[in-house]
Amino acid sequence: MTVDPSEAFGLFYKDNSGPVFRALLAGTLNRAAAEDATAEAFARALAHWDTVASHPNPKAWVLRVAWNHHRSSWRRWEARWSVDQQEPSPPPAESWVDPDLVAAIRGLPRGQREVIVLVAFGELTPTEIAGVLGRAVGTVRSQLFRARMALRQLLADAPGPEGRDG
Amino acid sequence: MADELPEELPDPADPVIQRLQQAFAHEELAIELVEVRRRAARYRPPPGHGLTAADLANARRREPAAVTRIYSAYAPALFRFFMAAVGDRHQAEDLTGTTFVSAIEDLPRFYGPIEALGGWLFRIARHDLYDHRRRQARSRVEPLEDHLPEAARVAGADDPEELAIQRLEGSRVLAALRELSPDQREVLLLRMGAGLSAPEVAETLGKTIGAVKALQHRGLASLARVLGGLRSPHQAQDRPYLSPDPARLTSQEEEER
Repeated sequence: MTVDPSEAFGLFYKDNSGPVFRALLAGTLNRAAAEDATAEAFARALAHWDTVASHPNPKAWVLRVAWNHHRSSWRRWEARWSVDQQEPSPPPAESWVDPDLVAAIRGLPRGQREVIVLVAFGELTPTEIAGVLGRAVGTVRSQLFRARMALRQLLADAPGPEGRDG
Repeated sequence: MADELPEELPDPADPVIQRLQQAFAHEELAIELVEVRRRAARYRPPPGHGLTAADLANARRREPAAVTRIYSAYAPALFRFFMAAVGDRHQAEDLTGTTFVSAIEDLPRFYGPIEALGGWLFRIARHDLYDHRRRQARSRVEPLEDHLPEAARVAGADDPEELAIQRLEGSRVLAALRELSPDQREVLLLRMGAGLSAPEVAETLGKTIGAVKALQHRGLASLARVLGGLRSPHQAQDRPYLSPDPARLTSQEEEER
């Protein structure tokens, strides 16, 4: 394998930035925060590319970094007020494709929400999710189970935009 | 053990999962690879990153390579800490140098693991800072605001060390720090200036982690108020899972102290 590391990172970014961003977006429902966490995590992946390239699951590595970045309120604060940045304008009101689903996600406890989006977009196993979130595998399994039950329940009344294509 | 359980992938046919995937299927990250590369170039690892127990053992014996590694791992953070505290480049450099020299001399008396080195180093740094301030107070009164233009000027330069501190100086942040209580300011200097973790700051200041986090929350809230005029940073919308209200958290955690 004689792939230029810089090129290798480019490919990795191309393939994985979408799913990682979607996981963060669905988990945070905050576009600016999701973009920031995703960009930060990939930037660190590039800075530590030797480690990441030989990691058994680079995407899980990036998701873990992105999640930690987002979870630390300090970092969110710093990003908001960092000096190179002008005062941020308030985030625009989002018009989501599936408002019922978004409302249902909002209704989930944070732990369950994190687990279900990592399943849906990260395509990670419970063991990998446990690593990403720093939780016991058993906890992840039960949170996943409860999140599915809760969403199923919440969505039963709102069958979704079935008519639309997509 | 969990390891013995079969490792199942979640059922892709689960309608809940499918609907989640569909709802976000068209979302794309609006950040170019170039921007990520720029960010990577600016990335600075946390202080002490990459040091090993062997480095510490070797540095105790004053082995030059190990001493250099420890210096490289902590000098930028020490410099930023002093820079933010005194606002003067030359003084910050001097303080960084003297702190490091006395730390290396004292190193045989540091018994902690490598993870505790940062907290220990910054305890020395803080002590040196107080000494420095006492000396200054004796000689002449030199209020911090006099240093702000100097600090701002430094921000324009572009060597790596200066780039590393560009967030602090020149800034409304540095000026706003003066508005905080000494406790809050100190925590923020160590967290933001030096880039220490909350446990390291707790170790440095001899406070509990809870107390450090509380001071940080309160300090950030005050800082945001000072920086943003009276407009509080947009919260509920911006942070779907909101950390507890800073003010409430503070009083609770302070009581635990």
